[in-house]
Amino acid sequence: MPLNGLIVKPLYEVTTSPIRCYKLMNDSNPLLELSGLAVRYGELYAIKGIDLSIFPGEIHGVMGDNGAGKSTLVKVMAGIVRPSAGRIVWQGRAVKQISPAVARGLGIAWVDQNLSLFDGLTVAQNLALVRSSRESLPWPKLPPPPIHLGSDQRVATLNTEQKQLLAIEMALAGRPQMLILDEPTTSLTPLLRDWLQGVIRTLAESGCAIVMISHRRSDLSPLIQTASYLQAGRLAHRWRRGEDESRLYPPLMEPQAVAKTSNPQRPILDLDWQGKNWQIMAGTITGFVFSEAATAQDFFNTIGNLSNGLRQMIGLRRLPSPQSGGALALGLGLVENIQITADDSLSRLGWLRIAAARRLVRAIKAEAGLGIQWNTQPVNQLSGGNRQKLALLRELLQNPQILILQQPLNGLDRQVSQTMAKRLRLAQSRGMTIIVTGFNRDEVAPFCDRIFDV
Amino acid sequence: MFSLRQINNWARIGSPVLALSLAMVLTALLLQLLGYDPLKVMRILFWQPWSMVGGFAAILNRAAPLTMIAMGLSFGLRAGIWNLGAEGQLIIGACAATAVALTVPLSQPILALLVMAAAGAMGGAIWGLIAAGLYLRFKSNLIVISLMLVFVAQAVLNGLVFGPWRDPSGYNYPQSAVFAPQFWLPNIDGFPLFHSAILIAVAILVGGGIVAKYSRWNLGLKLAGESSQVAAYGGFSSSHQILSTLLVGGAAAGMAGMTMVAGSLGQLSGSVMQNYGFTAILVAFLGRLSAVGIALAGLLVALLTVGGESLRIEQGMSDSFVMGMAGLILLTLVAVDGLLNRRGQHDQ
Repeated sequence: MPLNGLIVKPLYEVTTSPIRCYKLMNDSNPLLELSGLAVRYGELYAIKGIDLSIFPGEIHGVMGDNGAGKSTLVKVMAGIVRPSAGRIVWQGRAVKQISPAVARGLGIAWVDQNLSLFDGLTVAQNLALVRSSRESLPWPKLPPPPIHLGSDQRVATLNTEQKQLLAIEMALAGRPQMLILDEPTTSLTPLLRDWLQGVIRTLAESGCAIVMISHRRSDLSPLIQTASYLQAGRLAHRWRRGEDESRLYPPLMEPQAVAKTSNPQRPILDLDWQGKNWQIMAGTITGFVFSEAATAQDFFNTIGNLSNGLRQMIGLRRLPSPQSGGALALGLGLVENIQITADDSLSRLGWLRIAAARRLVRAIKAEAGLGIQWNTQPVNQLSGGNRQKLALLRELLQNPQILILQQPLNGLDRQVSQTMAKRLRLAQSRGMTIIVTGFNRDEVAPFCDRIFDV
Repeated sequence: MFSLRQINNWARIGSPVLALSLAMVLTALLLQLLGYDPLKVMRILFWQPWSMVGGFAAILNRAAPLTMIAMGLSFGLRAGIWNLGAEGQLIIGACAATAVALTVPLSQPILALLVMAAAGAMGGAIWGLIAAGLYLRFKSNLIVISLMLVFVAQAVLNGLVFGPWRDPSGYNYPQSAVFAPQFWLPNIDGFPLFHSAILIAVAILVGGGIVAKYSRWNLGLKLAGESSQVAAYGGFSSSHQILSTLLVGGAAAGMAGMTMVAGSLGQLSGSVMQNYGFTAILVAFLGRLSAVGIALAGLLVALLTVGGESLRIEQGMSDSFVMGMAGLILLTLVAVDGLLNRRGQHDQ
């Protein structure tokens, strides 16, 4: 029986009386209420004591440092993670056992940070998987995406921007009443970012609630009406539009004046690509800002797909963006992940130098404090930020001559991205040449010596 | 997170034990229903073979080729390269070894055996490479290609033992002449019932274990099993991996084929293989693709065969019933173990 857009399925127990339900069915009542919510992993609380209400048509930002529990919080809403304590109430009804199926049935859609798509299926097949009984529900006319995905294209052949778009389209296809976006813009070019803002606005006007995690102030600031700031798993600060924003965006340290290398610069790399030519100077950090995802990927591939031998000869290392899923083997442990890009220092004549790899792991742990104790524990237990730190430090600590990074600070919170930017600066001051690719001038500007717009 | 890790670790060691116990309980129930004495049957099946030297030797002798093949297969399987054609590689290895024994005039026993072993390994490797080559050329399904080549190998074997190699004094049985004594794989010195193939299997397991732990090649296979993207980023080529794992798997199976013809029989017969090439796939997975695991799984499967034979003799059980029972035990083991493991992974 459809009730105010809610399709009642016998998937969860209704504990409140029908009369109370009816009373709650007007828009001034929350869509989702969380009270005393906690998620515990062993002795460690990922989130604790969270009380939060989301109202229809509300755009709510979830902010906080890496590992503060943002993703865990929204995963509870999406039914991916089961809370250890607390109450979840959806439109006045307590949800006893939340699961992905229950959440979907309620009309909660979730776009995963890690873009959970079926790589082997086509775009159309992926979309078909989420078509639901909610299709008959009223739905606002959303602006069409500026780029078009071929419906017969296999997902594995899409670039990360197209994958992110598909993940968002899949969430929208379920016609949700609440849309959860976990870092939705990390791989999007400005064009698609604007489109997404338009979509979010239209949805909110039609009464769909939006919960959004992002590290980009430019994504959140113009949209959000309310926000929660998490700190070490606790709700440290609540914010409503009109209040002081400063606590949501902790002050950035001023970008340090670029420490110019005193020695005269010499070109180390002469890049010829698509009829353009760039000279990369030794010991500099050069940023390439792209307006198109495909071009960016092509550029990175062109440099990155040099043969192994050639790469080793010129001492070049590369790191794909954290969203590409290519940098780390999530099911394997730290040591194995360190060895992925092992060169002579970590392997000799085809044999791995395990002791050297362990030393490198220790160095990375000492610097990044990964919070993982055993080297055999799979790295999927690390938070997104820590994964990126691990991958970045793996490449940095092997002291390449030239390091090419694809959106290296993506998905990192401001503090961590500052630390990492400083870390890149430090490596540069020791003579490393670093090339950074990205979509956003602001992201690369603070630590690049030169920026090229492509 | 701490306790989660403990649970995972516990599951890793505990799940095979739990799975085996459950398998035995299920089998016991079935036996009870059919009117057998479950305890007695279990004793004959699981315990009796160990209690006699002959039984013990039979277990090890059977486990030897199984573990050899399984170790060879483990590398490809780890990367998701589905070589299901070990049976064919085993047959061709056996044929190649037989060709040496029947045609090459070598009198020095050690040299004769070395040449024969090399021929066996090469035969298996070539059969594996044919599958890899066909796969890479036509991008068809590797499972189908490698499996179909088993039938081709069987046809080759039949062609040989019914045709040119048929033993003139063999009463028309489909088998080759008995090899000259220098082409016989001896028993281990001082242990008359234990076949020296056991030593070869141990060497392959130890060597395979070392390669699995320390080689960059195997790291690449692990990465490929996780994600082809990561493997490509690490600079591992998938076609190289397909060729090399089929070569290694084929060589190990071919080597096992050599030990089987040069072993107790001393001749090539149409029915020498006993589906070891298929059973080894089970052994590899049951042993979680690790050297120690494969050794244990190989022993278990061999034990079930040897114990099963005692059951036929002592309890008068039919062939098919014994096979069905072994099948039930292994199926439960694989199912429960898989289930527990999946659960463990899911929780992460």
